[in-house]
Amino acid sequence: MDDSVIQLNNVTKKYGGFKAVNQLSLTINKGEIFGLLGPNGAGKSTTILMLMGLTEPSEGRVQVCGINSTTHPIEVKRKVGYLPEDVGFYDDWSGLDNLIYTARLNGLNPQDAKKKANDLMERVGLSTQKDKKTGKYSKGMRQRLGLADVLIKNPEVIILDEPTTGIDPKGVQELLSLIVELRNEHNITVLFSSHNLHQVQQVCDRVGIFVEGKLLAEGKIEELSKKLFTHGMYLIELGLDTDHKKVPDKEVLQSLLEPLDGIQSVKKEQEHFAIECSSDLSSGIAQAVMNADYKLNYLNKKEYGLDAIYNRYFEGGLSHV
Amino acid sequence: MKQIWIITKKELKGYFDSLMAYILIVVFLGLSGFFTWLYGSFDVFYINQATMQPFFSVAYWTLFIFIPALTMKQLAEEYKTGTIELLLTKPVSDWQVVTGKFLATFLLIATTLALTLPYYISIASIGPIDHGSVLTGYLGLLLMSAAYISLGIFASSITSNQIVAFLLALIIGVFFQILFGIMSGAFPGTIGDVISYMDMQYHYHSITRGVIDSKNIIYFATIIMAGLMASELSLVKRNIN
Repeated sequence: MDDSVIQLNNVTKKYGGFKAVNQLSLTINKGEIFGLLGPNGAGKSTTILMLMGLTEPSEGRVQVCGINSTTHPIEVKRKVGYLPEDVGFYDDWSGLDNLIYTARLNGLNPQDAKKKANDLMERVGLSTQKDKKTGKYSKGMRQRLGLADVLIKNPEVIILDEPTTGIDPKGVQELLSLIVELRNEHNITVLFSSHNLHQVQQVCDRVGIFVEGKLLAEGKIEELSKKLFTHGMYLIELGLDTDHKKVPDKEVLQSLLEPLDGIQSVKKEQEHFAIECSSDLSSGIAQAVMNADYKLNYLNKKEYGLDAIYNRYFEGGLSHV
Repeated sequence: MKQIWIITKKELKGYFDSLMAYILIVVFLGLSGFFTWLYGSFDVFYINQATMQPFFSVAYWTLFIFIPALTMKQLAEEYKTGTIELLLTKPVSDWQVVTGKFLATFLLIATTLALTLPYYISIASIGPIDHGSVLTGYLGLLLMSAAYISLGIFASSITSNQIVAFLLALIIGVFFQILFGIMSGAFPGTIGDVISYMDMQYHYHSITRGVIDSKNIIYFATIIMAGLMASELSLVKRNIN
């Protein structure tokens, strides 16, 4: 069964001679949190505008929830909630009044709009601040109100465009947790556009790396890592106590670690061993060397995460779509 | 239609919350009342006739100045505060946004004009009045206001600066209010006729004299629609950028 919620087929957007988005094809499935990564000017916002039906693609087709965004933008906007980097609210209105207004625009009747707005203010942790004018809200509070604004229409898709910019770390964590909770509770599809790799890695199921209008890579973080770092996703540096027992040869250590599934290479460096493996085997390695009566001096684990993947794509100009 | 009405109500609330509506009503009633009743060389007592013409003349010029002040914030402020994004990502079309804002200002002007009905009642009580020309006079004011509101919203749709929007609306208005009338004399033949047709005073005065010609109605309807469509186009273009 086709479970796709967002579909872009060979989409190109030109501004004059400049291609802001170039032959983009992407599918995002129901209940997925998809991270759209890329530097400023990569074409992320243009892609979002096309998804919302706010601008037309020069070529290709954009569909959200099975609806063509270009020809039926109003229907798409009924199903999609959008939270931009800097949410604008009517500053001389209270948070609750802002929310009631947008609820009414989303088709709710006055009673339902008021009830739902109150419920959502509580859901996003603003119930004590609901009567305060939004002009006096902090950036974090505005983003939380923005999330309530997105949720008021019971969206099937949420598009977040750099939603955490300018928020303090605690606020970021709260916002990210809320996004994951929403996906888990309501199976909402989330498109998370950001250049913050750590946040994307924290919440996204799949990522797409977008540069100069092109999608360079797309997939799960582990899959991308495997593609790029053929010698293993994890590098474990093992240091042994030389006073306790003579450090073994590379071959001896290799035979000690043989029972562990996923060891890809063992190298002896000057002071330590460098072990590359496909999964996190740090505890198994520690156990194996201690069982052989070696004393651990240190064990460092380095994971090739999203930042390494991202840097590799930029450094090498690779294309692995 | 429902979406348009929600936007209209929000805009009307904005006018009353910011005191703009009260200022307009008080100043308009004060100015028009002064020139209608008290000014001396112009008022109904001086001309010794039960007529609303002094009021219609004053209202015409007063609204010409007031309307840009009412429309200047309509879209410019939404751009400036970023609320335009909030609005356009809701299930409303650009046309509904523009029409909702147009209707709000139009209803405010219509309400203000309705408050001048006591002038009509009192003048009618002191002498015989041509009721038909009063009716067409009000119609002329409403049509002229609608035309300037749509042009004012267009001016507000192309900038995020309210002062620029005000001045631009006023400059566009000056062409329709004064310059086309003057320019028409300088151009002979068809060009002169076309420019003369653009002159709003000509159409307004035709209506206030009690002549409702389809030519005048088409003129106002064209300006209203052109202003609203240009505003919508400008909004679409701004979205894309």
